[in-house]
Amino acid sequence: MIPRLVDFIDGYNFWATMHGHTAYPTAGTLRDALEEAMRLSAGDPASEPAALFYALARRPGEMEEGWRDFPPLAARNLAATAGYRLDAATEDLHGLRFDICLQRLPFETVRDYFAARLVPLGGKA
Amino acid sequence: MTADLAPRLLAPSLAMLDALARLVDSDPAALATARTVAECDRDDAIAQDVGVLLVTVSGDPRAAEQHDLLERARAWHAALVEQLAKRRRFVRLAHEHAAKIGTSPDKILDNPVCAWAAALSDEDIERSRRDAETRRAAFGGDWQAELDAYRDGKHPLHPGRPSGVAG
Repeated sequence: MIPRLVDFIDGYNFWATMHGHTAYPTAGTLRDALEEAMRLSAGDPASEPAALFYALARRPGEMEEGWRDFPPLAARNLAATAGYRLDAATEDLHGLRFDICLQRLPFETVRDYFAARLVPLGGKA
Repeated sequence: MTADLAPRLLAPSLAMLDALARLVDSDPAALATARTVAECDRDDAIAQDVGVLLVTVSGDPRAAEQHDLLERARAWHAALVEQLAKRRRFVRLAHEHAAKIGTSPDKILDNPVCAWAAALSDEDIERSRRDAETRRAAFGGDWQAELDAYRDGKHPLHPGRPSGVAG
């Protein structure tokens, strides 16, 4: 389940403080990303990790330092919340993050990439 | 672990082992219960009790018959201890952050996104900080320059471009 906006903003700030970040995205940027993720996933929990990853990754300037490490963290944890393990190396997720910006990938491509790598927790890989 | 706990735990040991067996079984509902239990600070005592129980029963000849059960209980106990250590770390971080920004630690502890962050290890955070220093040295915070470097296979942290990740 995509987090509530207030939890998302407070949680992001907690994460950024732990990492010693000095430049933070605005609350408006985080709100826009969250709303876009909700729109893209259209209520499908299995699409939410891809949707949030995509919405964060395609905002390199606005996300400040959070553009690098927060999208993979959010995607993995949201997948776990939905009952899945994201079977993708972090390096590959970074590659996907760059490709989203460089190639202007459509969301459907990212959704399919995730769908092929979501393994039910407790199930066989 | 204290000796005075052992007599209390010896009597219900078989019943407790049965309960443990249910917890460590592959039933997702039971596992979820175990995880929920592990997330509660007050259950630090339960982890200790289970540890004492395992040691006590292991010393009992009859325990040989329970070998498989004990092995699974040990695994569950180890997972429980690990969960508790993570939970304690989260509580400490939440108190530190709450003091810094003037809010209640509970507000942080109840926030699922804070829990995502708190699950990172110190090593994860240290690696992330080192990477950030490398990026700052190379790009000075210019994300467009970072994208260009990745495209050209010259990114110091991601030299493998083109990765072809997305086809």
